[in-house]
Amino acid sequence: MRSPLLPHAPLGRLFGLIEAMAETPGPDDLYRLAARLHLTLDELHPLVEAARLLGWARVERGDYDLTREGHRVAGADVKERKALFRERIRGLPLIATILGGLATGDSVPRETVLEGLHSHVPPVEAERQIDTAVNWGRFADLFDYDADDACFRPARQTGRR
Amino acid sequence: MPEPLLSLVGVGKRFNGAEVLHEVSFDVVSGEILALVGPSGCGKSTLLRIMAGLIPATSGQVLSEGRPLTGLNPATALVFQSFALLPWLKAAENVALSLEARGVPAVERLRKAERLLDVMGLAGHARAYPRELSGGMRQRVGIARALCQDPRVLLLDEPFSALDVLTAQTLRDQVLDLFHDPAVSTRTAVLVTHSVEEAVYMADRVVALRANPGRVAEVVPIDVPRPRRWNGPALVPFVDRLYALMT
Repeated sequence: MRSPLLPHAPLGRLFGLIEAMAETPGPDDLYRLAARLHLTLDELHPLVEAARLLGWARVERGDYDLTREGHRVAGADVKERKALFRERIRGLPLIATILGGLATGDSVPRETVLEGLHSHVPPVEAERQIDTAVNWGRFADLFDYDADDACFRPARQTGRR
Repeated sequence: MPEPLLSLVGVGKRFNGAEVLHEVSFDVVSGEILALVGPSGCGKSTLLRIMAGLIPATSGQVLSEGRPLTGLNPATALVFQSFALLPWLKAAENVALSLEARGVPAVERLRKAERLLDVMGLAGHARAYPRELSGGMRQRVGIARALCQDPRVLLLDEPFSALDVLTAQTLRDQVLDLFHDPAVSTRTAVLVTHSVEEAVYMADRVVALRANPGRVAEVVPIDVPRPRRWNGPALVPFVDRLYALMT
């Protein structure tokens, strides 16, 4: 079963990984990829998890294989990447929870989302989940977050969609 | 050949009597990406600061669009290795700050800042503080801040060396795309790097520098069509040649 949690993948690195995977599209060994990129397992793991969660790579028994959409992401510009990413993360439980809250109100306090997570994960991980959701949601232009009052807000329509 | 945007003519620099740069001459031509590459001690970052007008040359001359440079060079904007963002300002405010000194009204400043953040793929992060951003994102904000000034020449000082391998590669490609983006007016860049591979991947011409004191070994045109492949077979002979020139 897929984990409902978000892997803590910085997006610049994630896209870098997809590009690197596209150079040797596989199926190929993950350890070979890790060695080529000088990444430790701890660094590689969240990136690979994210690639799998987004449907951009298949990963099985230490091998990876880019999906058709993964190949598309590798060759896409930032605008197209953003659009593909947005569609993929909309339905993820934590992202959907935040979007659901924003559909019925002007803002969603971080605390409210945290409380919902506390029954699933330890407090430190809950905080990290929120931070990753903030980053992903902002990149996807799905919602905004104001660190001054710790509230999620609807995205402003500034992006070139 | 069009008039160069920047010309260095016999530029020398001494710090406390020690010679750092010795009679450095080259041009930056409109539309090109020029890389300055060399070992530490070759004065490449000093050269970039002289082009920006942040420090004066001790001898020789810098011409900016044909005119001798005195003081800050308004035709350039600098991107720093360390990002150099103000931590108490949000991303869009950091980007807009460069326009404040030029007397651009606040609303217009912020609008332009948000447009350039969008170009860098960070429209949704306009109201994020630097601490909320990854290294790659901070550098994107740094680049947006420089582009916001509509420089004729973008000066990049080791912009990728504080980033991890994967982040750096994605950002290199994004920077190359900028110079074709209709939302960006800048078409010319000078890239300082200690990575020969990076210089050859990014640049149209590479100025190979030797150290102690810094001087030009040779200017090497990289006549390989784009998109290029990192360390691809077409680039390897240039990498080889540049190593030979600098060592």
